[in-house]
Amino acid sequence: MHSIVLENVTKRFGDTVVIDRLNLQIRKGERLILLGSSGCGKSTILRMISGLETISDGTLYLNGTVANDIDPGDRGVAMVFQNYALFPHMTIAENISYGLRIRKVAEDEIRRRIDKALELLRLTGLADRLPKQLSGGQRQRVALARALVNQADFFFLDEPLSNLDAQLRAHARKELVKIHEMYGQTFLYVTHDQIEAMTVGQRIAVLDQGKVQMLDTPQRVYHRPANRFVATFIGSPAMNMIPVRYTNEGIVLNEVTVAHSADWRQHLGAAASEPTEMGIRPEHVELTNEAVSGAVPVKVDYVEDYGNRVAYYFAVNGVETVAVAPMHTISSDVPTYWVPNAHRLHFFAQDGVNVGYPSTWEKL
Amino acid sequence: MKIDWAEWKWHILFLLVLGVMLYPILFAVSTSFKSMPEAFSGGAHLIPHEPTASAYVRVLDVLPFFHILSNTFIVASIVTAFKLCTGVLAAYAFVFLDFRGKKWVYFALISTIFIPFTVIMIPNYITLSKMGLVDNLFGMALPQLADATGIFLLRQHMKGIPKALMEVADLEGASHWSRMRSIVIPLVRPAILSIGIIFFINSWNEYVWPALMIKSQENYTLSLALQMFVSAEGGTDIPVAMAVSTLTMLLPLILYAVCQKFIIGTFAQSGIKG
Repeated sequence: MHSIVLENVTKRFGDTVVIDRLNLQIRKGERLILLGSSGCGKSTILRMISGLETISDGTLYLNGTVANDIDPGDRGVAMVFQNYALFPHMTIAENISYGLRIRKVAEDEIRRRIDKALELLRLTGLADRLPKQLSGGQRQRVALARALVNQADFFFLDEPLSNLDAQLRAHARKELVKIHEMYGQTFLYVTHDQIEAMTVGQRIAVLDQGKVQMLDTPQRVYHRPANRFVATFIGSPAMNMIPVRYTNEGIVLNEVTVAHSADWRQHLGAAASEPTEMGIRPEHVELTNEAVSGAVPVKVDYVEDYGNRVAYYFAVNGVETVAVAPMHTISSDVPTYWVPNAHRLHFFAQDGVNVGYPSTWEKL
Repeated sequence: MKIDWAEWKWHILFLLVLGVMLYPILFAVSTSFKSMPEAFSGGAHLIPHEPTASAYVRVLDVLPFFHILSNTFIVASIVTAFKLCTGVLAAYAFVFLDFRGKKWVYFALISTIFIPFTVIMIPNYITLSKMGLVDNLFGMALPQLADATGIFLLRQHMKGIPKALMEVADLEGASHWSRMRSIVIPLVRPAILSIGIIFFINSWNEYVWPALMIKSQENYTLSLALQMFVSAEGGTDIPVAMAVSTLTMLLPLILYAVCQKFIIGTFAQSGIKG
C-alpha cells in the first residue's frame, strides 16, 4: 500500500519551475531516500509533502486522502531538521515535549514518552540541560527524540546527519535504521550523501533537476543504473564512461577490438538504440601486466595510494579512466593491460539512457 | 574590555567628549548638595565646600514630590506597557503573517517615524481637547500607546529567529498565540526588555507634550515640576532645582546601568541587520 503519492506535483517559485510534474509513490513503512546534489529540489519535495511549502500544481495523497490543503499540523508529519531547530530557551525535556503539550497529551503520558525517548537515544540525565550545553551529536539525538515522541505516521529527515563529523555520522546511521525498525513509520530521508543513501535506504529516489532519475533499491541503483546520471552520481570514484566505437566483432578500446560476450552480443543486437558509451566502475577495472588475449593496452599516468586501496589513472579512447584495487596489483613501469570483464559492463545510448542488460543476467 | 594603547589619540578624544557631556550632570548633582549661598557664590567647582542635604529636605516643602513622582511613573508605565504590547503584536504580524498589502502597511507605518513630533503635536492636542482629555494624564498617554520605532526594532529581532523553529511549530499545529508565548517572546525577551527601558526613559523625560497637555499642578510630571524652578516666578532656589533634577535623573540612570548590556546589544544588532 502506498502511504504517500505525488501525482504531477509541480512547484514554482515565481517564474522558476523547481519541480516539474513529479510522480512518486512511497510505500507505507518503507525507508525512502531522496538523493541528489544541492539545488535538485529534494528538500522542496519533502517540504511540500509536510506542508511547509505549498504545492503549485498536481495532487498529493497522504494515506489515500488528497492532502494539498491540509494544514501541516494535521498531516501527521514529524520532522528532523538539518540544523536540528531546537528551541534554545527550552530545556531538552521541554524541547522533546513541545508538540505533545500543544496537542494536550496528558502530563503523565508526556513524562512517560520523554523518559522512553531519552533512554532510547542515550540522553538520560540531560533532560534539564539547555541545547547549547549539549554536543552536536546529542543535539541531533534530541531533534530525533522530539520527532519520535509524536508517534506520527510520517517521519521526515532533512539532511539530519550533515552537521555531524564522519565518525558520529556512521554511528547515527545505524541508530536511525534501528529506530525505524522499532517504530516502522513511513520514513522519508533527504540527503546528498550517497553513503547515507546506500546504507539507510530501502529504496532510493535519485533526483536531478527536479526529476526522479531512478527509484529503486540501493543494489539496483548501484549495479543497474537507469541512466548516465545515476551511473556517475553514485559511486566514488565515479563510474568510468568511455566513448565506444562498434564493429561487428565487438568494441574498439585503445585500437584493440574486444569481442562481445555471447549474452551482450545478443542483447545489444536487439537493443533499440546503439550505445555510444560504455560504463564500468573503477573497482571492476582489473589491470594486469600479462598480455593475454583481448587485453587492452593502457599506460598508467598516475597512481594514488589511499592506504586501504590504490587508484590507477590511465586513458582509454582518450578519456581518463580510473581503476581501483585493494592493493598494488601491478607494476606501472612495465606494459599494463586491462581485460574488460563482460559481466561488469554498462552501455548507454546517446541520450544517456541505459540500454539494459542481457536477459540471462541475474535480476537484482 | 582590553584597552589598546596604540589608539591613545582616540582615547583622549573620547575622554574629552565624555568630560564635556558629563560636566553639567556632575555640576547639577554637586550643586544639589551645596547650601544656597554657596550655590550663588558662583564658581563651577564640583566638590561642595560644605556638603549638605538640606535641598533634598526642602524639596518636600516646595513640591508634592511623591505625587508628582507617581504621576510620572504611572504615565511612563502605561506608555511603555502599551507600546510593547502593540509593538510585539504588530511586529509578529509583519514577520510571521502573510496578508495583502503587508509591504505597504509596513512602509506607511515606518514612514511615520520621520514625521516630526512638532507637526502632529497640535492636531493631537485639538483632538484630545475635543474629547475633553486635556489636563488628564490618560489623555496625555493616549497618542503614545503605539510606536513605529519599537515595531521596527522588534521586527528586526523577530526576523532573526531561525525559520526552522517556526516550522517546528507549523508541523505541530501550534496557534499564533502559542507561538508568540512559547517561542517568539522568550527569544526576543532581551530586545523587549531594552526597548521597554528606552520607552520608559523617554516617557519619563518627556517635556514638550506634557507642557502642552497638563495645566494643573496636581497632574504635573517631574519634567514639568523642574520647569517651575527656571520660570520667571519660581527660580531662585537653585539647590532645590538641582535636587529635583538629580532625583529625576536617578531612575533612568539606574535602569540604564542595570540593563545596559541588553540595550547596547539590542541597538547594535538592529544596526547590523537593518
